[in-house]
Amino acid sequence: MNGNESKQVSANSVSSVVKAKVSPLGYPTNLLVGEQTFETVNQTIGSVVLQDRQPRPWWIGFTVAFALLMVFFFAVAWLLIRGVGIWGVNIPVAWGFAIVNFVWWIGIAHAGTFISAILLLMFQHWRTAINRFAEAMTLFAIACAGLFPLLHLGRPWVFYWLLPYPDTMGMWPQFRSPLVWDVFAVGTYFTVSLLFWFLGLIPDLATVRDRARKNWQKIFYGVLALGWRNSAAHWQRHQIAYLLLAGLATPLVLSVHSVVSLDFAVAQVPGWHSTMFPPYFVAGAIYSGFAMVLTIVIPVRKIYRLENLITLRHFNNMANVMLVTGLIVAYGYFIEAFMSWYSGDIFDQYMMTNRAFGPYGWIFWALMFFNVLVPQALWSARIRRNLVALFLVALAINLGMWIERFVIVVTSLHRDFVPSSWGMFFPTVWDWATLFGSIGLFLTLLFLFVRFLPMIAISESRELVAEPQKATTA
Amino acid sequence: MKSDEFAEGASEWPDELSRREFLRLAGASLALAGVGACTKQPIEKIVPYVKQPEGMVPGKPLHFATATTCNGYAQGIIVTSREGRPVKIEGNPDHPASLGATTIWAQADLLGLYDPDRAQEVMRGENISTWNDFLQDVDVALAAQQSNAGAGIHILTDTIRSPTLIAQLQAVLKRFPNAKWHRWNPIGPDSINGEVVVYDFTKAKVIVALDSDFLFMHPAALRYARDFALARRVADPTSARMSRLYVAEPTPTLTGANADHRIAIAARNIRALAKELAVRISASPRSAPLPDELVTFEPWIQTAANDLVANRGASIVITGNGQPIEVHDLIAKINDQLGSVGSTIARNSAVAGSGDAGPPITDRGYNQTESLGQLVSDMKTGDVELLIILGGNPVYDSPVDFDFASALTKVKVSVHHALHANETSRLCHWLIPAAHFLESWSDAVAFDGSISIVQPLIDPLYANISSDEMIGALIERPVRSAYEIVRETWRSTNPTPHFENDWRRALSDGVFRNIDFQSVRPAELHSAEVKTAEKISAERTGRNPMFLELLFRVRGRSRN
Amino acid sequence: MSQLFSPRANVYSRVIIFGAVILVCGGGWATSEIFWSPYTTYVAVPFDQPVPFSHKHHVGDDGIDCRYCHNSVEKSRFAGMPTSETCMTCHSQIFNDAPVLAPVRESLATNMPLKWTRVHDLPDYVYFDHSIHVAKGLGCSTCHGRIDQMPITWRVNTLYMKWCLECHRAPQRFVRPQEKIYDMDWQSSRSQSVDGFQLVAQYQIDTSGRLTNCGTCHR
Repeated sequence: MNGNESKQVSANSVSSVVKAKVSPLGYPTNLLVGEQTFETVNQTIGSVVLQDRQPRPWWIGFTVAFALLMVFFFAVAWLLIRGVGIWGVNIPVAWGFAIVNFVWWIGIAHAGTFISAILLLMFQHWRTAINRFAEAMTLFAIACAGLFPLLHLGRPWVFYWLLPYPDTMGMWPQFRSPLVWDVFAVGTYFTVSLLFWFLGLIPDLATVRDRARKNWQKIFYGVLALGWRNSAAHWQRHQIAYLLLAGLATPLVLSVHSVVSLDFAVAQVPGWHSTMFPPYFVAGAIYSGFAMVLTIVIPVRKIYRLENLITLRHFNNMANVMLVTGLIVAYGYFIEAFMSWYSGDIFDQYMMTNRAFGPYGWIFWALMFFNVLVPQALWSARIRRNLVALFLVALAINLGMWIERFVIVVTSLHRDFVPSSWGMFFPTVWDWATLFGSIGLFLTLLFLFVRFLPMIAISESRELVAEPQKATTA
Repeated sequence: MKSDEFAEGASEWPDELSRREFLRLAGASLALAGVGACTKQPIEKIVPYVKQPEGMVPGKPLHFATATTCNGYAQGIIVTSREGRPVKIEGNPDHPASLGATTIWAQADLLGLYDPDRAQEVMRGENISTWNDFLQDVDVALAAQQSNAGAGIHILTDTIRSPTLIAQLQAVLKRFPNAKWHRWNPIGPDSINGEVVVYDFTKAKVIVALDSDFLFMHPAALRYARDFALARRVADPTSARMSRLYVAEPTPTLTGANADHRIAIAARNIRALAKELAVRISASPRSAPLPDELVTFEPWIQTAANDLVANRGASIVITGNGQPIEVHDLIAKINDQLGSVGSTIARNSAVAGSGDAGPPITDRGYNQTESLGQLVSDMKTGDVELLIILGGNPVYDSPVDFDFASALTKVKVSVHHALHANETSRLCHWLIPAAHFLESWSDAVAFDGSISIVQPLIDPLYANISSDEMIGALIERPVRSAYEIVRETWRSTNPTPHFENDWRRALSDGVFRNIDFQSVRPAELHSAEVKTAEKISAERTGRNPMFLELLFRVRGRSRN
Repeated sequence: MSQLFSPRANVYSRVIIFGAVILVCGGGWATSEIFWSPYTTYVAVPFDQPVPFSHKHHVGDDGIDCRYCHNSVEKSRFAGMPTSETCMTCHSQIFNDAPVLAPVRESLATNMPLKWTRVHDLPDYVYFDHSIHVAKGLGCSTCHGRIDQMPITWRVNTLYMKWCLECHRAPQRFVRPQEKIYDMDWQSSRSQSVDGFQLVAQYQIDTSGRLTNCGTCHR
């Protein structure tokens, strides 16, 4: 694995440095590999944004993502023309891909805030390399997620009826419905994430502004930097605001997916009606969020040669988080099965039997394979540091978490209490087009982000250079 | 993968939506998304009556009793009308064939009225014409027929049971003794038993149905299903007993699904089964071995026979229209032997309208295929000078070896009277748009002989002509309105001083009067030489269709 | 490094930031104003009618009962509009050659109905029944205002759903005794807060919340 990395910008060989500063537990002691200075940090990160030519993989990736985005637009336009009938949803499975995708994207959005806010408050400085990335990912994932319930409304153009405002009908949204809580939870989460992300970006935008050569770049980044002058007063206020926002964002990590889980748990459908759902969903969300961060960071690190900033220790830590949350999720699956048996309720028991051995049984076992079995490989330190293996595990978890939502939504609904209203759900080509199209939307935004904004926090990386002690004690 | 819920082609990309237009629409739908609610009430007009009809309260619906027909048999309905427009059809509780229920087809009749694809104008070939032009044409044709007593006049109809229309057709045959009236119903039986049989399922303790779906595909199915359900509902367990239903049928039916004992049997073996039943219930059962095809059904046959014998006088054996006339005769004998006639079964050979002139309406042994065949050969030789086709679509549904279409082109004047322009209309010289039954006066006979007056709920939406006016064009000038024709039919048969009261009562109740049934012995109806559908098909193919059965099961009805 | 932005940039940024806030809030306010203005609600907007019919004259001055013309108001969802024949019961005797009544005479002569412009028009997705409202103690003037003082008819209420719900949520505020239904002068008195509940009980108006079910009006 070191063969490629020897070609990087820094003159030093990674492996030799890592070996030189390894702790007794085998962890690299210094997050920033190599002899980094303020200037090399600025150069490495800032040049990505300011250089005129992007590497070929960026162009390839962007082209694919943009093509998928066009598929998304096409699918959505057709949806607006013809209505939700083009999807496979119908009674009894009225919640199909739209809700599956919504929950999946919202879950992915969780890693950002978790990494940014909670790890910041816990002084986990290794987060620096990935927090910006994770925050951007959060924003784009929420954007994707938010679209699905809106499109599923059937008449998306009256989505604003979900908002409480004094209208001519004298009506307010049904505040007892978790679907309305969703609007607020997701809306708040998006707003706070956006502010948090932008606040962290301001000093870096100033750095980029100062390094820019072209006039339009100077003005573009200058406006975004809001007149940042790097003064002590600026820094003091920035730090206070940043910590405050982090404190605000922390409960959101727990609340958003708890609220989403209540969409299900409040219903009396067997397979949904469970008090376990909020923690189980939150764990699953962080699980899938970290998996998505890994899926994206591993290739980006390679393409932009950021090996000195994003080190193996980051991957190791992220893999550990995934292992822990993965075990919580596996425990959730077990408890779900146990409770349906223990409840003595025939509908609950049938739901579980049907889930595992019914017509969608093969999907359930795929879930077990991808979400429970595959992540067990992370017990091995060798796998945690083997980027190819880690990438594959992360992909498996992404897939597994999507399947989990499919299992919860579809297999719970397709067998009603009354056998006469049983039915099957088959996705149509438009269901698939919307799913893959939303991935296109996500990736396009992400590619534009790495092109135009500093993808690693420059100022925080500089802090690590200035205070190596802080990093080693982390 | 399931494509989607829409009909085939409904979700396909419409051709006229070009890429440019699609993008414009997509852009517009996004741009207008937020403006969707920015609307205000458009200014509308409110239009009162000049003179308000008596008894009408604006905003309140009115209800009228009338009748729809199912294969010619009347079913009483009550139609809801809002501000002069019929909007809903429900059953008439006072009508014996309905008792307040309707069939799915009766419910859907409303759609037929408002169908925008209905024939709307009198058409002469490709050109729009008028009823008066048509009458002039008919006058010329009829004048030419005076000399030969109407030998060139042929009328082709569906199976008709409207007393007025039958009386009119007989008047035609009286005026033109050499004219011919052919009947063709592609989904009906080739030949029919000449009697009316009415069953009383409330009294039957044992019912044996041989290829008869009397609970669903039967003109009296609504009534029979209600009666059957009554006999199955046991309110007092100590005194009453549920009836028992035995069904032998070649295809799954609703009746079979309700059976206590059901066997699946080929339609061609029903005759053997009926014979075997007849033998088993007779006083001297012979000991001949069971035919091979029935061996597996031995327990069913024996149980059914025992049950029938044990419930003499309280049983019904019934067969369906798909079976040949021999089976019907056999079944009639079985019912006679079991003594059911008079208790659970009433019979009458007479049906309103069948007089001495011309062929009776439900004439025994009348073979529709042969009759149609006769018409086609007459057409081919050019003997048919005026052909009136009432309803139907013989070009489409007559046997293909008749080649009805090319024969039709040899007719001098051909007229099609139909609700919809179809293949037949296209080949006829004249298309007269028929009035829907909710637009015209008529009458109809129910399964038990009850008479209903069909009264209109609305004026014809287009230039529609009723069947009675259509036939009237052959016998009278000026052609009276359908109302006058129908009313005259009943006034002439009821020359009482209180006819006006009876008439109004009939319109209000939906039933004119009941015919008192008299039992008729089946032996009197016996006829030796009848060509059955099976014989005809065997003659046509030259061999017996023994190995593979092709059954045409009607899931609907024909209407002229 | 040269100066990127002039000192005026601060002004611009403030204008843009506060301007955006004002634009969003002002947009909301303007939308609300348009929706509550007579332009959308038609409140107090007189319509052109084929005959300038004056309720003030017929009801206020002549004292003709509402039901003389709107005769199905107690029986049907539709209150009924007077037929041309109804107009002519009087106007064949009085003002029988007034030019302003020419359209009515012509209507009766040609059997072509008059086409009035609808003043009170609910959207087609709303089910409304006059008879039940009258039977349960809602007077004409509650919704239609002082029609006896209108020389030409206009709307006094928005007919918005919010307006309907004001009463469906609290019918006791508006019900009146049965004998006062057609009384244009009736005003709720101080004791309405007590009488209202008694009347609601007496009329057996459902207070379980069914009056505000979607399906009550959107059938």
